[in-house]
Amino acid sequence: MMKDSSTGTTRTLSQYLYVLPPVIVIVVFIIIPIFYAIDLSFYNVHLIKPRVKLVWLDNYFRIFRNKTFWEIFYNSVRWMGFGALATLLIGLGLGMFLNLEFRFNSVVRSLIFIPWIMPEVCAAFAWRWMLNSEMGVINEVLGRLNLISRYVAWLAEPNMVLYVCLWVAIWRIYPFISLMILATLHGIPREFYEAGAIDGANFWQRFCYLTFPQLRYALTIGALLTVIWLMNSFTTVFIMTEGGPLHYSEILPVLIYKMAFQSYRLSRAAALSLINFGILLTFSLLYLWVFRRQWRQV
Amino acid sequence: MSFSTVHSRQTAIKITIKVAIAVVAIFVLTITLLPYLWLVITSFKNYGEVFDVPPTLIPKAPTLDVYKGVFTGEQLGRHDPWPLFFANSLAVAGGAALLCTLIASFAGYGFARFTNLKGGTFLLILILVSQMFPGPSLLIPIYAMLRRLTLDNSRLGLLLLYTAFVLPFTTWMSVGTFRNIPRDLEDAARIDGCSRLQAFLRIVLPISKLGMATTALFAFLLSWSEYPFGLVLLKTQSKHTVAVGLGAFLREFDVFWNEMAAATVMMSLPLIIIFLFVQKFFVRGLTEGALSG
Amino acid sequence: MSTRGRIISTMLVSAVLMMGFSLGAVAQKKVVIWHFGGLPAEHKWVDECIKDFNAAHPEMKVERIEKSWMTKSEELISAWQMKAMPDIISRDSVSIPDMVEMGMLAPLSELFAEDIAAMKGRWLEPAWNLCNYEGAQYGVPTYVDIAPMLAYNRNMFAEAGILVPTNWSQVVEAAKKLYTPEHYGIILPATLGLNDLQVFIGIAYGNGGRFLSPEGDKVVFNGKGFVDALQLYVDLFRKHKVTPPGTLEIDYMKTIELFLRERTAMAVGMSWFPIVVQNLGVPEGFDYRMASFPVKEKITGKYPSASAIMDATTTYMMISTSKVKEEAWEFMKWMTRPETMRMWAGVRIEGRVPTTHEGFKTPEIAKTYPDLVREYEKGTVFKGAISMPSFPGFTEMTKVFGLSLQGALLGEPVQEALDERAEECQDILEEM
Repeated sequence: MMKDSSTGTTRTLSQYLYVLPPVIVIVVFIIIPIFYAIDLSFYNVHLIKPRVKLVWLDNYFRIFRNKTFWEIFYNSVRWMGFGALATLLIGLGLGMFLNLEFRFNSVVRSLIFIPWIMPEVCAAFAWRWMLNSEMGVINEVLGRLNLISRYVAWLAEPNMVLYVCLWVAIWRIYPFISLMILATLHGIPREFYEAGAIDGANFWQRFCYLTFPQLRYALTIGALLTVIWLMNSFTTVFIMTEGGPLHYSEILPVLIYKMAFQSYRLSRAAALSLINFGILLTFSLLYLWVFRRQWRQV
Repeated sequence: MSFSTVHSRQTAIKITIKVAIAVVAIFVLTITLLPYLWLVITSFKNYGEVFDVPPTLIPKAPTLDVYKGVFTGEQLGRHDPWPLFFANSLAVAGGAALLCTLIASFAGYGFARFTNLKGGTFLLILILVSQMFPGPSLLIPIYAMLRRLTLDNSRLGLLLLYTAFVLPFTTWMSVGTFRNIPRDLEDAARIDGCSRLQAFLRIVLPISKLGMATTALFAFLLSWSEYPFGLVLLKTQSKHTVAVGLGAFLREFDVFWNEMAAATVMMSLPLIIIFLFVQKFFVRGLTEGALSG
Repeated sequence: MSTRGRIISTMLVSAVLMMGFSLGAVAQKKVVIWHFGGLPAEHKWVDECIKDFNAAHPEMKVERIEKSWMTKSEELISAWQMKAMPDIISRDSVSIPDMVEMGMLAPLSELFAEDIAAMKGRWLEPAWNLCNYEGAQYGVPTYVDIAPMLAYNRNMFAEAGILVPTNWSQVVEAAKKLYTPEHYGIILPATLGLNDLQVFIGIAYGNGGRFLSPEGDKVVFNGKGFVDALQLYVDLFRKHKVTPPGTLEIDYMKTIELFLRERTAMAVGMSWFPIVVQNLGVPEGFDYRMASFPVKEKITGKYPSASAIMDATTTYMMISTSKVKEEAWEFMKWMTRPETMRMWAGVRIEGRVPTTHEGFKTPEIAKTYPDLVREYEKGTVFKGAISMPSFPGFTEMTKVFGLSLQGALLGEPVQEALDERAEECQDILEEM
C-alpha cells in the first residue's frame, strides 16, 4: 500500500505545484506582454514626447496605408518562403548525405552543427565581413579565380542583399534540420530498403515510396521550426545590414526595432509587434492542427 | 564482356563515388566552417596586416597582442571592459540555465507522472504553443512594461526573461525525458515509504541527469547568445553582456577586424568547446526533443 | 610610564594620526570628469595632463572616467535621474542646447565672469560661440571637427599631373582621371551613419543649402543647394562610376582605411581624418593632405554658402549640480591654457582643427591643414562657418534624410527623393 499522507485535494494541490511554475513564468513574460502590447497600440506613446492620448486603430491605419510597410512585409514573406524551402532542401540533402557510410562521417556529423552553436551575433559578423565589397575575402577569392571583374557589393546591391542575409540565416539553421533528418533516417529499419531492392525498385522509387513518407513528419516539424526561427532573425539582419540600403533587406522584426528606438514611436512599434505576432500565431495554430492527432495522445 | 571488364567497371564506379563523396564532404565542411576559421585567422593578425587589401590568407606575423588588448580593455578602437561583459554574460546565462533546469525538471516530472491532472493537457499545450512567441514580437511590450516599472537596465530582469524564453522548449524536452523513465523504481521506493517528492529527488532525478544536462546546456547556449533583448534592456555599458558589447563594437567602429574577430572568437569558443565534448548526447537530446514535439 | 599607560598613549597617538590622515584625505577635493569618446592617443595624453595637474594641485584630485560615445545620452540621462552626475563632462557642443534645457549645465559666463571675459579673446569667435546658448557660455571648446574635407593622395596627383580641385567640376574631372584598375577616383561614404551624413550636409551647406530654414519652422533640405550636392554624389557614383560599387556600405572608417591602402586617390570626410590615420598608422611613403572640399563654381542654394559646418567635439562643460565648482573650474582652465591647447594643435594630437589663435600658428597645423592656415592668415577662416545642425528632432530626421541620400544613389530621381523625405521630416518637426 503506497504511503499517502495527504488527502485528495492536498495531493492535487502539491501536484499542481510541480507543474505550475513554467506556466506562471510564461504567463507573466509571454502572455501578459501581448495584452500590454494590444493596449499600448491603441495610444500614441512616444519615447521622447510626453503627450499620450487614445487613438484607437489609428496606428494600424497608418501602418497599412504606408507603402514602405508593404515592401517590408513582402520582404518578410520572401524571407520565410524562400528560406524555409531552401533550408529544407539543403537539410534534406545533407541529412541523406550524412546517412551514407564513408570514412570521416562522424567527424562531419559533429562539425556540421557548429553554425547552430555559434552565437547569431558572431555568425552575422563573420559573414558580414567576409562579404565586404572592398576588403572581404569572398570578393578577393572570386576575383582571383577570375569569376568577377568588379567587386560585388553583396550587402549594398538592392536586388541581392535580402538573399545574401537570408543565406546566413539558412546557414545557421540547415545543420539542425539535417541532423533531424538523419535521426529519422536512422530510425528506418534496413529491411525496408532491402525488401525494396529485392522487389526491383530503383533509388528514386525507394526514395518516393519508402523514405519520403517516413520523413514527412520530420520535414513538417523542420518546416515549422525553420519558419519560426526565420521570423525571429532580427540579429542576423540587424548586424549585417541594419535593414540594408534603404529598406531592401529589412524584415518585420528590424522594422519593429527601428520604429521604437530610432523613430521613437513606441505605440506604433507595439502595433507592428502584434502584426508580427499574428503571423506567428497563425503558424502555431497550423502546427497544432497538423498534429492534432498527436495531441489526443498527450 | 569478360568478367574482369565488368569488375573493373564496378571498381571504377566505386572509386568515382568515393571521390564524389569526398568532394561533397569537403565542400560542406568548408562552407560550414569557413567563417569560423576566417575569424580565428583574423584574430591573430596584427594591426598593419588586418587591413591589407587584398586580405591575406595566413597571417604573416601572427600575434597574441590583439587578444591581450581585448582582454585588458585596451583596444585600438575603444576601451571596452570585456572581462566585465563576460562576467555579466556568465551570471545571466548561468543563472537562467540553473533556474530553467530547476523549473523544467519539476514540471517535466509532473506532466509525465500526473496524467490525471485536470487541465494538464491544456497547460501542456499552452506551454508548447508559447515557445513560438518569444522574439521580436515581445521586444516592445516587454521593454515598455519594464520601463514603466523602472526595471529596465537590470541584469536580473534579463535573467528571468531568458528563463521564460527557454522554458517552453525545455519543459517539453523534460516531459519526454521523464516519460521515458520507467515508473518501477520510484514506485518501489514509494511502496517502501518514500514520499513522492523524495522519490523524485533521490531516484528519478539522478537517472535523468543526461536529459537535465541537455536542458541546462540548451538554456545556457540560448541565453549566452541572445542579442535583441540585451540590446534594448541594458542601457549602461557596465551591464552589457558579451553579445551586446560585440554588437556595439561592430556598429560603432566597423573596421578593427582583428579586435572584433578576437572578441567574437572569445565569445563563441567556450560554447564550441563545450559542444565538442557533449555533442553526441546533446544533439540527440535536441533533435529527439524536437521530433517528439 | 606603566604598561597600561603606554598602551593607552600609543592608541591615542594612532587615533590622532588616523584622524589627521582622514581629515587630510577629506580636505583633498575630488573632481570627477566623464570623458565621452575620443581615440586612445587622446586618452593617453589627457591622462598625462591630469597627472601633471594633480601633482601641481595637491589639494585636489581629478579622476577621469572613460565613457562610451554611443551610449552617451543614455548614460547622462540615467545618471541625472539617479542624481549621480560627475563634475565635468567632455562631449560635443551640439548637445549643449538639449542639456541646458534639462538644467544639466552650469553657466560658466555667470559663475566665472571675469575669467571667461579674460580668456575669450584667445579663441576665434565662431568656435567660441559654438558653446554659447541664449547668451550664456556653457563650455570651453578645445578643438573643432569640421566638414566637409577632402583628403587627397599627393603621389597619385603628381603622377597624373593634375592639381587639387577647387570646384565641383574639377572634382569630377580629377576623379575621372584618377580612376584606374588599381584605385578608385574618389570615395564618398554613404551609410546612414551620422558622420557620413554630416559630411554630405557640409557639402550641401557649402552650396547654400540648409537643413532647416533659419527660423527653424520649415524643413528645406529639398532646396537647390542640397539637390545639386546630391546630384554630384549620384553622378560620381552612377554616371561616372569612379566610386566603389559598395559605396552604400562604406562608412567613414572604411573610407579612411581604403584611402590609407591607396585604393583611392581622394576621399571625403571630416577634419578628424588625420587623427584616425595617426591611430591606424601611416604606411611607408604615403603622402597625403587635407583640403576643404571645394564649393560649386556657382552657388545654387538659396542661403549663404557656409565655408564649413563645425562641432566642438571635446568641449569641457561643468555640471550644474557639482559640489566642487571652483576646483573643477581650475581644471578646466588648466586643460585650456595655451600650452595644453598647443597639444591639440598638432603637437601631440594630429587631426583636430584648432580653435584658438595660437593654435593656428603651429607648424604642425600648417602641415596638416595648409589651406585652413592660409585662410586664417587672410582672416577668413571659419567665416560663414556654422554649427552642425542640431535641434530637437534632428536625430529622428537624420535617419529619414539618410534614406533620401541612399535612395538617390540607388536610382531614385534626386528631387523626388529629397521631396518625399522632406515631407516626412516636416511631419516630425510639426509633431515636436
